[in-house]
Amino acid sequence: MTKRRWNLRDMPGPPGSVVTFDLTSWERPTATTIIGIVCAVARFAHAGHTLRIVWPRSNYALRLLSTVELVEALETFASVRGSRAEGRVQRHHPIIPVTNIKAARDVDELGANVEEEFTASGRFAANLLGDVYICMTEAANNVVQHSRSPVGGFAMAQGRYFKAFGELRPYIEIAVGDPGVGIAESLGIASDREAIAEAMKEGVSSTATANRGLGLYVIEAAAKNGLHRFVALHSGEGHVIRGSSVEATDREVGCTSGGTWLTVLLPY
Amino acid sequence: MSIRLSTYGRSFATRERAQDILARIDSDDITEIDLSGVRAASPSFLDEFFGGLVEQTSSASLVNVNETLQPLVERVLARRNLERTFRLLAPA
Repeated sequence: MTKRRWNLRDMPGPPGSVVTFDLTSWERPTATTIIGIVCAVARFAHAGHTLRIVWPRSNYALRLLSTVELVEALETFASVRGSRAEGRVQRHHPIIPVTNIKAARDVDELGANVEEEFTASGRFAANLLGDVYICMTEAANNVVQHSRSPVGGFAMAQGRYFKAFGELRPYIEIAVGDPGVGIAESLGIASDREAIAEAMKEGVSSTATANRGLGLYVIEAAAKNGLHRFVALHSGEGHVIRGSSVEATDREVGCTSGGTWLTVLLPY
Repeated sequence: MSIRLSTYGRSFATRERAQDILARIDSDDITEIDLSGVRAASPSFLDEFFGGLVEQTSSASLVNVNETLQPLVERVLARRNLERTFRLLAPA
């Protein structure tokens, strides 16, 4: 059976054409999935397409999307008829709702919200704040500095349970993405895979300014700074996973992103 | 002169923020940078902040750096060869 491959990089027809996002099968969408879809919706809306979103059937999914304020995020750039469901989601703790990042002040505000949430909730160990803060703000800095996306990018964080490394654990899941030019074009490298590997090295940056190129390198360091952590970076057709308990992988995935998506999982 | 970074907030994320703070520091005789109350900072901010501050001091002590921030501060200073300019002092 041929594996279906999603292509969110190419425009789905001329401006004005209708694009349908069918989310009916969503049951427990990950932060990466949510950010990926928001990026695609924002990009196609900006390009003048008419968008149609078919919401999940699952009440769990609807409640989760409400807690991360997905509809509010989409409404900043498109007219959306949302489907909201009230109520708590078991084993799910929103940390940062879906947030649009377009400029440095948005990154500063994102960082302040992360710090405030850690301080106010008391739910997460204080020693996790540093790594969560670094991962979110450095990834968001990259969106502002390198994506060249006219709609910026999006970030969110949540606490949820994942089965990883053979065990169900609570994780902080961070996702930051943008529908921009992608790492390969930003660095001037032909291959998406090679570009990602290059971008994660210290000192590599598309800017000519000295002392740059820290962000992804430090994010990877944070992902290795404890057991059962990992970072996944997806850009175009390239996808890399690095972490303390995983062998670094570089693999094909079933989706060509239009832009760059980063995910970090930190157990808490 | 001592600079207390928490005067400007509890967390610091961007190079632009560092540039903004540096522009407000009106001294070329900084001897101490107090990081008490600073809960989080990004490597980009710290790199820009210390890289810019070196113009305004020949030597300064870094005090009250929380244990979560300390490894990051050390890494940023080492990367710029600024360990001798900004001396990290252990908590009292």
